[in-house]
Amino acid sequence: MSDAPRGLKPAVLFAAIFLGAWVVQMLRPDLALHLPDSPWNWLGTVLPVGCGLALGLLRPEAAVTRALASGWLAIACLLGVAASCWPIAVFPVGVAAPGWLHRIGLGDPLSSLPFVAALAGVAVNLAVSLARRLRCGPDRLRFSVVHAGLLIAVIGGAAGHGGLIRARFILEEGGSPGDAVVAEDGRRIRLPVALVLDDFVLERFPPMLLLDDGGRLSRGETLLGPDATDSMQGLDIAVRSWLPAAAVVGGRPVPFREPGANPAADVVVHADGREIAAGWLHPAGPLGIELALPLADGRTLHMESPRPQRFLAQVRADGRPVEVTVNRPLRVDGWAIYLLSYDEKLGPASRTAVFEAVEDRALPAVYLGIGLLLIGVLAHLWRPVTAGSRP
Amino acid sequence: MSGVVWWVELLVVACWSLAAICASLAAARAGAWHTACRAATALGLCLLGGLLLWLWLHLGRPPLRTLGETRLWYAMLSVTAGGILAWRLGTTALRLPMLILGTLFLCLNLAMPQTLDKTLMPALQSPWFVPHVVDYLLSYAVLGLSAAVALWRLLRRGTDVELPFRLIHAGLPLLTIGLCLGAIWAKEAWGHYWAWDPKETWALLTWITYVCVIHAERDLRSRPRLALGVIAGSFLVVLMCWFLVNHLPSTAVSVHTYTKG
Ligand code: HEM
Repeated sequence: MSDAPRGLKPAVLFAAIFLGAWVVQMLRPDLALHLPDSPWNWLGTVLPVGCGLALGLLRPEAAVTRALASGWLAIACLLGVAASCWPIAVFPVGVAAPGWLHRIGLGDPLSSLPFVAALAGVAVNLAVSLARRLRCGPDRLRFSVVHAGLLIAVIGGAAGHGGLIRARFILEEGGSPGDAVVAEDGRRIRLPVALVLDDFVLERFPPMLLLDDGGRLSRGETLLGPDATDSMQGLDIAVRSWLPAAAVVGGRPVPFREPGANPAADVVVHADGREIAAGWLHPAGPLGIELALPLADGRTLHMESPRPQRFLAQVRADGRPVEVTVNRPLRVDGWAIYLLSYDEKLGPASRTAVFEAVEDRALPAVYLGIGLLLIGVLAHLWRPVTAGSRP
Repeated sequence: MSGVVWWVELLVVACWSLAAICASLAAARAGAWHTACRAATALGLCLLGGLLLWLWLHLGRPPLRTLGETRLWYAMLSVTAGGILAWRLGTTALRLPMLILGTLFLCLNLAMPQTLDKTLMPALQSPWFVPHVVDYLLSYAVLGLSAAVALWRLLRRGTDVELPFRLIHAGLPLLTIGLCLGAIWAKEAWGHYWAWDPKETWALLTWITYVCVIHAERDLRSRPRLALGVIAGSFLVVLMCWFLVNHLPSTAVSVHTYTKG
């Protein structure tokens, strides 16, 4: 073992603790660790990190400090995070995890003991190595900016998770959420603003063609409209007449101006310069059946349902008209109210919108951490410091 | 539209294959072959850059939505980044890997031509979309180069790890920037900077892999063959995050997967 990498011992010790935590989780599969609410969430995260910082600053050369600040411990803790969170990458929230995953203690990886142990290890290792490097060691500034950024972001994220308030609610046109909404954890939350949904608007792209070749679908490239043409799989398709909003009556489309009505197109199909089919296309929708065009060679031509282009909610917030869209939430008093979705079955005919109100008091800490990390990695990109090049 | 794309891709493949041949000859005889290699590489880059610009204008959206579109960017970025890094690091060892990577990804597009359309889902209509995805593709390009160089050296029984490590020191910061931009965008659009979406989790696993590699660098340098193997193998996690995640059961609930057409 004489040429074993330096600092490997603490990593092996951590691996033993991590495996122990995993065994406990397997023996007690319903054990779930959650951070408490504010202020205990801050205490629970800042306290161990503070101790790590103090240790690194006051006793930089002590054996325990060297062990806790070792690069191999960082690797072990990060591998621990990876080993305990991977199930979420394969069976995320919303997809049922298979039974064997529950049996090995990772049915709910993010609140499992091994995951929490690994994350705590990362935070303590970052804290001790950061403080120790501030006292002694090369390239202090760049090391500190990257690792302090990470540390602040990890603490902010972990502590913020404990104090995060998320409340999802559905509003109908003309409706308001009333006095309070129910948060994810069951608490009743008073929103910072009186909200009324005036109108929900969904704009859609024009539809495209779909060719069904015995179950293999290929899509056209053109957005359909009056006089549009498209070529696909040896076919030339031209639109002869166009109804921007239609309903099917007696097997034929008729103009029907109603939100949610799909367009219809009368098309003519040519192959090798010969007309092989002509007729109406219309996608199935909440207002009627589909019209497709069978071709002589067994293939079928369809019109795809138009895809959403933009959706927005016109709301009144304390009487003031505001537009909320995806990527543009309404921000009031440290809260942000996001437009998440709508009744997708009804599409543009939807009269409801799904919102989520979020209050995240730890956000400034997370953004500070991310900012420092970005500055640090940009400096690293400009002039990398490699561990191997150190004396 | 996809017909035009296919023909331009073929032209670029021809240019870069020619450049690769010139690069191999230049290794033995300097002079005119170097110039020919540079000219063919630059011509291919101009054609590909022009194609992406044309697509952007023609589609009315950034051509970054489908897997095929991201492969076009990847090809361009691996050759551009390879060229810049080769100049910064003063090496010619990147020429062949960057040309081979670029050509390989274009060949994938030639074999699987994709349809292009003008639609873009509302969530992607954000100023964060382009910087986030382009930065990620750039980091994948640089990490791809590190893996290609490592694999090449591993196969040729080489032991020089300097270049692959230097490439990782460029790729990891880019990966970190992509992760941070994604987190800020997610917060702006959905209220959560980290939602443990499958793609996000794979991105974290990729990041962890490369952070581990640079933290083990000092010890890995004394075991160069192991180091080359680790660097080449780490790219498998990138491939998982980029392509294979589309085939997992989790894809149905991911907001991140690229559309196939
Ligand atoms: C973008 C992410 C990161 C980058 C670019 C980075 C960069 C570096 C570099 C270049 C070194 C060597 C510095 C030197 O020896 O002078 C180093 C050391 C170290 N890093 Fe990181 N790091 C990152 C993430 C992390 C994380 C997530 C952890 C904790 C889990 C961590 C913990 C450590 C430790 C403990 C050392 C050894 C400190 C010492 O020897 O004094 N790093 N890091």
